[in-house]
Parts: sequence; C-alpha cells; structure tokens
Amino acid sequence: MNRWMWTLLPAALALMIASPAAAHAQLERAVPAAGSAVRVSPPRLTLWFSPRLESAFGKIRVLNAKGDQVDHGDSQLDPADARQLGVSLPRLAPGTYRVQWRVLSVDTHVSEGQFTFDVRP
Amino acid sequence: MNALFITLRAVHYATALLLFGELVFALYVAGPAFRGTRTGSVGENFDRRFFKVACFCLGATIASGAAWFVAAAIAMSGLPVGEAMARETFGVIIGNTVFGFMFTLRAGLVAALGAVLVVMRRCNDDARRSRLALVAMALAAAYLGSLAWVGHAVAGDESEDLARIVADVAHLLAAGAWLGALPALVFVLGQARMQDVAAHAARRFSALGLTSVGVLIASGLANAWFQVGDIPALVGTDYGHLLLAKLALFAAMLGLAMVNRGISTRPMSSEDREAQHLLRRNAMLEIAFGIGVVAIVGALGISVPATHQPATWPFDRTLSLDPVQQSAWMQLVVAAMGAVACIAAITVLAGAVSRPPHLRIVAVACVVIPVGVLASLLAVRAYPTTYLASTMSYDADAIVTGSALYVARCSACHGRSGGGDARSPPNPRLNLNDRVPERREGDLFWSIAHGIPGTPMPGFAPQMSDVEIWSLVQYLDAQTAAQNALAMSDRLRPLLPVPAPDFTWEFTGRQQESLRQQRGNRVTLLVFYSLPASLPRLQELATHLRGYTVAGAVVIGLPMPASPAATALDMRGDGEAMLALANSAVATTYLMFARDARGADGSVPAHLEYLIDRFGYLRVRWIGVPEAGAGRSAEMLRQIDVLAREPPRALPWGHRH
Repeated sequence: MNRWMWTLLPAALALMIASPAAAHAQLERAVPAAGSAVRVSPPRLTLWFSPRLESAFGKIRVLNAKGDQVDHGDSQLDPADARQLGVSLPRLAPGTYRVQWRVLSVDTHVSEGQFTFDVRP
Repeated sequence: MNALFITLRAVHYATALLLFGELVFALYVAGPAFRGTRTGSVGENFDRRFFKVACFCLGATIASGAAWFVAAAIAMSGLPVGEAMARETFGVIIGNTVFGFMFTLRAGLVAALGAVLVVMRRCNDDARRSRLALVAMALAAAYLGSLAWVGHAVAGDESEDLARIVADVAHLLAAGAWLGALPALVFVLGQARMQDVAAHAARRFSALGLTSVGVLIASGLANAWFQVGDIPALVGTDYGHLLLAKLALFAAMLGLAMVNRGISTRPMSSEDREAQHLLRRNAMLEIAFGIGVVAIVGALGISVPATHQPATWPFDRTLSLDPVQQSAWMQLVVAAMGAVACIAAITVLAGAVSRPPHLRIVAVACVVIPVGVLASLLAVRAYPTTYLASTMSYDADAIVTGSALYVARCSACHGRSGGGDARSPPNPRLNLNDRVPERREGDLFWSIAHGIPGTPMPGFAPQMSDVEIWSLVQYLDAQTAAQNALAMSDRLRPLLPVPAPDFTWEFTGRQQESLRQQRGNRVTLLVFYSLPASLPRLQELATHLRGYTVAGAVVIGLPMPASPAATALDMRGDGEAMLALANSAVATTYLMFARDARGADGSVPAHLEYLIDRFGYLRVRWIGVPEAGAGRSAEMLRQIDVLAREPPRALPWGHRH
C-alpha cells in the first residue's frame, strides 16, 4: 500500500502544474471583433473557435438594430480550417449589429453566444 | 433532458463494459480455471449464464444506444422533437458528425458481435469455440473502446489528439476487464461445489485485476491532465467534484480488491468455504461501487470539462513560492526540508527500511514532518476568486474602461499612477506598482470587490459590476507594464515585461485586423502621429514602406487623440497603406507607456513610435518627431530584422474564457 501511495503522490503533484485546454467550443476571436467598431462594411463575418467544430448545425445570425436578420444565411465552416465559421454579409448601413452564434463541437456539445459590433459612417 | 442523457450514457457504458468483461472473463479466467478440472454441470451452468447475460446486454446496449442517438439528435440540431426525428436530421448527423459516424460504426460492431455469439452458442467444437470467443472479444473491445470518440477525448488541441484517444481507450478497456468481469466472478464464486475451480478463478482474476488497476490509474491520470489540468480545477469545479466522487468510489473498490487479493493468494483448502464466501461478498460490494462509478461517468460526459470552468477555491489558504522569494534564510530552510523529504521518500520507496518496523516509522516521519513544515512555510492567504481568470482581456477598450474607474475610485488614495503619492509624504503601503505584479488576478479581484480587512481599503462590490472590476484589474496590469516601460529606450534591449495591450484596426478598404492575429508572425511598428508636426516622418515612412514589409513588419499609423487623421493626399507613393482606423482608446492606452515623456502640464508628446515583437511585447520606443528621418529608418530596419529572428516566447495574452 505504501508503494502505491508514493507512486500516486508525485503524480498528483504533477497535476498541479499548468493546464492544457480541451472540449466545449469557445469563441476565440472574431472579425469584426466583439464590441469593436468598423468604418468599412465587412464583406464577411468570421468567427474562430477552439476546439474544432462539426460542419453540421453551426450557425451565425447577424441582426440589425430592429432585430431583422441581415446576413446572407450561408453560414459555413472553412473547408481548410474546422475552427473557422463564417457568414457573408451585404453592404451594411451604419449602426449596431448583433451577432448570434450556435455551434456544435466534435464532442457533441452545443455552445451558444452573442456579441455586437458597430459600423460607423 | 440532462437526467435522461446521464441515465442513457450510464446504461450504455455499463452494457458495453459488461459485454467486454464477460468475454475477457470467459477467455482468461473461466477457460483456464475450468480446464483440467472436473467441473461437471458447473461449466454448463457458466455457459448458460454467459449467454443469458450477453443476450440481455446486447438488447440493453442497442436500446440505450438508439435512445442516446435520438436524444443527441434533438440536442445537437436544436430543433423541436418532431423535426429532429426526421430522416433529414439523422442523415446530417450520420453523414456530417463524428458522433453519427461512430454510432453507425458501432451499430455494425454490435450486429457482428451478436452474430458471432449466436454461432458460438451453436458450436460444439471447443477449439473453434475459443477462436470465436476471441473474435467476439475483439469486437466487444472495439465496441467499448470506440466510446472514446463520442466523449471529451475527441475535442481539444490537435497536437494531443492521439494521446487523449489512447488514454481514453485504455481506460475504457481496463475498466471493462475489471468491473465488467466482476459479475462473472461472483457467479463462479457462488457455485459452492467447485472450491478448486473457484480458488483458481479468484487467483487468475486477481492478476487480471492488478493489470487493469495499473492501466486505470495511468490512463486516469492522463485523462485528468487533459480534462482537469490542475488542483484548483479539481477542487473548485462541478466536473472536478464529480471526479473526486468517482475517485473516492474507485479507492473503495481498490481497497476491497486488495483484501480479495490477500485472500485469494493465500493457500486455500478445499474446505475453506468461509474465504470463498468473503471473496464473493467483497466482489459484490465492488460491483455496487462500480455502478456508482459508471453513473458518475454518465454525468461527466455531459459536464463542461474543468479546464473550461471557472474554479472557485474552497480553502482559505493555498501554496505559493512567493513567501520564500523574499528571504535567503527561507530559501535555505525550504531547500533543506525538501531535500530531507525527498531522501526519506526515496528510502521508503526503495524498501531499504521496510524490515524493522521502528525504522520504517522514522523514515515516514522524515517525510511527513518536512512536508508539514514546507506546507506551513508556503501557505498564503487565498480567496474563492484566487484562481479565477479574468473575463475581460488585456485590450485597449478594457484598459480605458478600467482607467476611468481608477480615476474615480482609486486615485484619491493610491495616486494618479498607482505610486501611493496621492498625499504628501507618499505612503508606501498605498503603492500599487510594487504589489500588483506579485498578486494573482483573482486575488486583486477579491481585494477590490471585498476590501482588505484591517486596512482603510473598502470593498467596491456591488457598486462595481464584475466586468468593471475585471477591467480595473486589466488597467492595473497595464499600469505595472507602464512602470516597466520607463526603462524602454530607442535601442533594442533584452526583454522588458511590457505586454502590448491588444487592439483592432482597419487599413483603408481592408478587413479589420488585431494585434493578437500577428502572434508569432509579424513585428508591429506602431506610429502615433500629430498633424502637421509628424508629416515629414510619415512621408519618410511611406517611402520606405516596402522595405518594412519585406523585413517582416506591419506599419500601423494612428492619429494622436487631439490630431486630425492623415489622408491619402498627405502621403506619397503607397503611403496610404499604413494609415489605419482605430478606436481612440488605442492611443490613450499606448500613451501610458510614454508617461515619462509628458510635459509638466500633462501635455502628451506629439509623436510616438513603438516596436512590438512577434510575441506581443513592447520592445523599443521613440518619443517625438525625429530630426533626420532617414537615419531612424535604417536603425529600425536593423532592429526589426533582429526581432523577426527571435526564437518563440510565451505569449502575454493567456487563453482566457
């Protein structure tokens, strides 16, 4: 029993050092960035997640101040990068836009979130 | 929905564990134990029971798997039940998700397993039958191991994909070989007429169990590393608490298994019914604990892994090396205690003092006492928020928000720049610049929210929201960086800890970019200008712009808060390409790093240039408009070249959630 204990103790101590990341998709960054203001109407909204996403059931909606959906409804995972989900946008008039996203990570968990960005004249 | 998911997962895991465990037991325990013994009807009884259990498990595993698939389809698609049950949704899940693909594969495996078991049952040739059993066991192993692909093991850093999957598959198979085989052992031990066989089986099972436990512990530690990562996450999150409960049950199972190993390895007389009875009772208790473990596994699968949950520290002390760093004596004591404990631990491990009991006690005391002393020396005050990560990132917007809060709430005591110089003479106890760098973000958050008892420092919660307090913490970090920036000059020097706050900008007609995006990629030359004073320098930069790009730098020109923005008309050549648009918070924030260049009246310099290395640290700064522009460009290009070749370094912006 003693030996077990002394083997387990250093292993448990090893656990105290730094932590790696895993599971459940988190929004890492966005272009346009959350809460930022842009002068140029972005042709596309792109979100980067960690970890990888499933291509199915990932969705971005961009709503204007009135709550109408303004994006082209073509949310798509980048074929070359399973962390990158984008949607194309028409020319946006100045104003505040709300982005709502819902994604499925490869461990079958659904994550959702929202943020806003501004288009300035 | 959660309770349903937990139940379905637990039932499905249990049946997959049992299918594999039964086959392992039949092949490696019952087979050799029955061989060469007159088992009479017992062998037949065992067979009959084996097929009965396998049949039941196949039914239950198919039913729970199908129900899990449907429940997952509803949850993943987010559609109402009626629509989610449509063929279209199932098609998308099967065709486009790892989960769907694995379930199709597993359906095939369980069908093949069922077919092999049917053939096995009808087969009378022993040799052929054991070959079939081997095939069935391989199929059951694949069926059980493939559960790794429908859990947390598939999600995470690509670089660790293989390690996570291997650890999870090993954990599942080892659990199957031990826990899944226990019911069969209980059955064999219950056959009172076969003491020899039972004793033989118990011994073989003990060896199997020992191997499984070794694999379980190693793979369990690996899984804990991937999904929990550190002690605060273990003791401070729901996921960690579930894991601790699982570990407690596992420890109880391990204790019972050790007792059983003691019984089964000692010589057992054929009359020793008492021992056999005890073995059986302990094995049944192990199964009871095992059911608890599987139920927890069901719950862990739907919980957010601890690495992604904010950890609430449950104790009022934690261990830290900070107290030691302040005195050489402390360092000596800590080193001595550590050395004594290590030597004593090695001695105990090596077993050199295991014979005379009193020496053993001394050796254990030599470990326990220094460890206790170390713990008391390294213990520091901790709060529930100690290990929380800031919800605000270190960026210009948060820093400007924090700056306004600082002026309104903190500067009256701590001084305009955190130096504790609000009143004369300055009070060193109020100097933040010395203290902030030593404290964790979570500790700063607690002190701001709840005050510091025994001092005039009041608590600001709930007048200030969590977001505001975290913004203030970011500002305090920036203030520390600004303090370190005083040592920065126009010459490239070894690293100063001045992390550059993140920000976003747009070049005319181009998509928004951020400083974080340049990580490990490009050096950034950040130019804050005032018109018309900076115009010659801007035009000179425009002439050399191609040279900067070739050297691996991006040049970002932003106006000072009071200056108008330059336009294409002001610039020569392709100079427009360096004119950027950004929030005024960027200039306000970066002026903090040239605090010493402010005039006596608080006026800001007209012109500022910073070089930010590829890892997000401010490295070089130039204050004011240069006299002779060309000389600066040549020097800058040389410095950019050095920065572009620097080896990779840790990033200043952590992985924040």
